[in-house]
Amino acid sequence: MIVAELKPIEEIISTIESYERVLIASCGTCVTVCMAGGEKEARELASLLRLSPSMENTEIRVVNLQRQCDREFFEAADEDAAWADAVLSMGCGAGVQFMAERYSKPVIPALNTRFIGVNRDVGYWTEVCQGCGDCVLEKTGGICPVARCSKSIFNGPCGGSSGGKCEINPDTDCAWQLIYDRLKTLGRLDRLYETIPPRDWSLSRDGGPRRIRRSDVSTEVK
Amino acid sequence: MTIVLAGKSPQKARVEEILRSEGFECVTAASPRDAKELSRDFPVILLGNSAVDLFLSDDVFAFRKISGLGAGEPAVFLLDYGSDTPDYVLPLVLRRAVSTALSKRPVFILARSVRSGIPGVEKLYFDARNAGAAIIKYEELSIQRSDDICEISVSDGIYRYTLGTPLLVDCAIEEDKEAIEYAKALRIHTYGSNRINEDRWFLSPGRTSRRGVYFLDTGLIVSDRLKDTIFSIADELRRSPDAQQETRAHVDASKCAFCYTCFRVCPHAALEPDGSAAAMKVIQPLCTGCGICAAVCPAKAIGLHGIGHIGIEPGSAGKTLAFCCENSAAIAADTAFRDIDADIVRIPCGGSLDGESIAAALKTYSRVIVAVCADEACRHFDGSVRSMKQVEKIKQAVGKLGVDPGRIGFVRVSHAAPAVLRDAAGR
Repeated sequence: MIVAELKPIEEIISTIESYERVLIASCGTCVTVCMAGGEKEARELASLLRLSPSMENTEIRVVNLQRQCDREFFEAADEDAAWADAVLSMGCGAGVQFMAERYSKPVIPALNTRFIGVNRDVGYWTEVCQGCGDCVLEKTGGICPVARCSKSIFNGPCGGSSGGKCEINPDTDCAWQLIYDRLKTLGRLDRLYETIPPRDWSLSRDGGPRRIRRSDVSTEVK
Repeated sequence: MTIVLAGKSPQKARVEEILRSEGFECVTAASPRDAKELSRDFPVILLGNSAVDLFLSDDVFAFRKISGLGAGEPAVFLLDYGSDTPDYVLPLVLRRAVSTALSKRPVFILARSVRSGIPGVEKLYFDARNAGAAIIKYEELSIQRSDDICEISVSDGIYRYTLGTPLLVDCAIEEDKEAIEYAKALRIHTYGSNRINEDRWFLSPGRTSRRGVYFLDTGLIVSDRLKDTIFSIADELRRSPDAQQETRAHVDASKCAFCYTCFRVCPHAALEPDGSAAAMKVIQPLCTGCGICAAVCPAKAIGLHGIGHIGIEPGSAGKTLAFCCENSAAIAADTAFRDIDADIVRIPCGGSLDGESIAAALKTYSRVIVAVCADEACRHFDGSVRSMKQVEKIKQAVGKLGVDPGRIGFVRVSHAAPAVLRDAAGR
């Protein structure tokens, strides 16, 4: 899922304090599950903002949207959005932008969208995927060298791997150590003799904004 | 009535015999998985066989013991348990402490939690004190070891006490690892290095965090108390489970994000996934209505029957609002707030309080107090700690808004100590 976290409250206030009517829009999918932008967080944020002396003249409403990355769900927010001077979106960056396309008024992010990750424990998430567009997990024992190696190197480890940890941070596991351990468990250390060739990074961010069009599910695709 | 026996113990045959004499039919669970399945329909007694030993914590000290200790050097008994000291250990330690103290050696008993309520233990405390043993309850502990001395420093958060000893007696328990595997499958509450929470004072003997699952550690329970404990379990099982009308949680499946947060935090194993609804559901007989799930649910999909959203009446400046846990503070509140202008909101557990409620209360009240049980007395295990974290979070946030965080008070109280609550309110 997409993992996000709430911006510092003083930063949020600085972006909305000049408005008289602010609509907070929660999102019911990824950011709810990662406890950053669901109904609970939206209501708590609203309660806190109402306490702020600099927000004394600002009226706040909350609307709970099931998803901010599909436009049909915005209908539930249309009425309140028409009332508001600005919308504070608690969606990920995608939700904020999609809302901004719909409403001709400022749509402001309440969250910092951090990464695609997994929930390892209550309140603990880690990054595992960068959406690079050409998955190599089959070659690396199910551990991603792009997202989990600080250098994203394909034939590791580098010289900065020490005691199973990465040189950038002693709390960070060396992805290539993990890959080695995993392949050893699988009895497939021979995979490490295969050199992974340079890949086509245009499938990742380097190719500019990406899009997917599926002609099999749309009759209108050109 | 059928009862499931899980885990291994040399006392198993005796347990079965006592249960049969009480009219129960015993079924043995073959594996943790089997126990989990059977626990849906039948009560379970998990048997464990931990070993307990008093031992000198280091070879150095053992050597010193042989080579002779200085006459004035103290002996220190350490009871460093995350939760209550197991009832088997305490009499053992107190007896040893008395005999050591009577041999003219200074004796210190350091305990993270001091407990009573064990038959005969009050007299042993008395004897130990009379013999000159000092009993110190601490919250923080550090031990520095050198060649021939052990520097121990303890603190209750206010005072710090340091002492050196060549004779540190650690009262260690070797866990029954198999029992812990069963405990995990049955989802009963564990703490520290996976100790099973079986003996908080408010639990009847053998009760665990999950209704209908009992834990009998035959290694730790004094043999002549085994029978009484089983009788007590049998009595409880014969009582109608619905005798008590309770508040219970319910999930609104249409709002549930199926995030598993409630499943992970429920101390009573009362939530389970309902695959057909793609949502969590509450196993009603297991729910105790503590409200922890409702407070943590990021989708606000969980409510409590009998209690709506924590209701806050529009207050007025100068007034105090106290969120009071009904197990402690709400009982003390009648006396504590006799002549203080305060509104009281009863909450089923500190853990049921979320940040929104605290922030919303601050909007209309000049002062908000969160009053909950002592951490180790929380009958929902970590409810008090959860409430403290919510208070800290909101204090930090309002501080950044320019609102005085001192308007929020947090206090741990006993139902029998209204003065503590009163002091907190008057501050």
